[in-house]
Amino acid sequence: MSRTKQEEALAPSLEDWSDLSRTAAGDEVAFGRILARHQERLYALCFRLLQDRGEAEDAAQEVFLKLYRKASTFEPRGQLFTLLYRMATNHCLNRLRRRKIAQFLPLQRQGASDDDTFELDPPDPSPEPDRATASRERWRATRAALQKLPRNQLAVVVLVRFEGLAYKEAAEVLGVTVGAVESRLFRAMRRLERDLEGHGPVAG
Amino acid sequence: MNDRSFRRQHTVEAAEEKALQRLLHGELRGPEARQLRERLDREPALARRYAELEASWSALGESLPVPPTPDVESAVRARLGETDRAPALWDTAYGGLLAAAMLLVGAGLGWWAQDLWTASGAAPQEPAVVVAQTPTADETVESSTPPSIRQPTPTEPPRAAAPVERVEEPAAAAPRLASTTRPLDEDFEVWSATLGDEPEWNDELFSSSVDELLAEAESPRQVEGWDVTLADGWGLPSTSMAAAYLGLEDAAGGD
Repeated sequence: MSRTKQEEALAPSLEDWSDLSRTAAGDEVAFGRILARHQERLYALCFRLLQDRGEAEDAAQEVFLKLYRKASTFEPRGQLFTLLYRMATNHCLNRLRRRKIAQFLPLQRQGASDDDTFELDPPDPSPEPDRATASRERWRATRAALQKLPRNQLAVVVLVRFEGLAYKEAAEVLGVTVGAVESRLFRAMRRLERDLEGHGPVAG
Repeated sequence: MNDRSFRRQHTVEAAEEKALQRLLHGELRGPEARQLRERLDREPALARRYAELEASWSALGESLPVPPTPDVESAVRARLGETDRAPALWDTAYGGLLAAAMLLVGAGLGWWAQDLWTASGAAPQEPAVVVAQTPTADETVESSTPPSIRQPTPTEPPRAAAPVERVEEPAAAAPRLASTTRPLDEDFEVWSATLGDEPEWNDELFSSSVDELLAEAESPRQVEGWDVTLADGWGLPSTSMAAAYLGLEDAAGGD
């Protein structure tokens, strides 16, 4: 018998909560399944917020460890990934806050550790050298502008634009209203456009 | 380019731009979406702004690539293993013995201290009881004695030192907005802003500008419900500065 759309939509969630319940009872195989299902998305979220591979990996580990240790305390409500995203976002925003307090330096300079040399080429580089250089320059400017966003605006942009969450889901993750998500997104986009004025469209 | 000159270039109002944003993100549906699409067909300025937003939003997607995911699972398992392998001190027999020994030493020290105190002839002294209390209006009228310190009874020994009276000051009230705002002719950053029940903390040192914040307001009157703290270029918050700038009535009486 084929499952309805709603059942399919709920399936991962039920599977997640079931595995979390087993994890609480000491079933490490079930915990492994949760890890396998969510580690990629969670790491991507942490990396996009922190822009540092080592810190992002550590943050993702911390979130899973917390989930494991507190597995018995979570109520099975909604999607597990919303809970994981909330934990990860709060953890990363706290890390960014500590960075700010500790170093009092612009975020873009704090983000990458000395040995963090990760940098991808900009997408679809033009075969013409001049255009490729301009494209690379816009791309770098966009990344820098994103890192200059206030934390709460950066979090919304990452959740909605990069993680593909609806406003309502992003609001649940951040513990704010849908209106606040919309406002932060609006301000973030205006700020990005302002900062990238002269660089052509955002990124590129 | 500051916010004002940036905004002047865009003829679309904030409320309309938010609607365009919702449409772009698939958050506007039904009749509202249909009406806005019809307006896009009729109004070139609106359509141009929508195209700009669409281009920016689309291009943004390629700006934060993620490196290959490391093996988080193995690392988590390793860390869990370390925790599990670490012997819990109080679970071991050795730990129990240690705890018992520490209790005995603590008890011994207690006896010794009591003997020493008895030999010195000092009497036990009650700690001064200080009650922080703000007198009510009735108390102010009927009694001039502040009811802040419990008087010692005759059986109590004299106190070694007079207790210090501490009266808590009432919490400073948040600044309240006056009915009008001043022209926005200076650059300050918003340190924090609260709109009704919805806290909107912008606690970055260089956060949203006042212009950005006000751009969200549908009208100047809407700003009246906001509590705003501004920060100067060094991130130093000042409620009095906010008061002066936004036409606030600074109920806190300063910073």
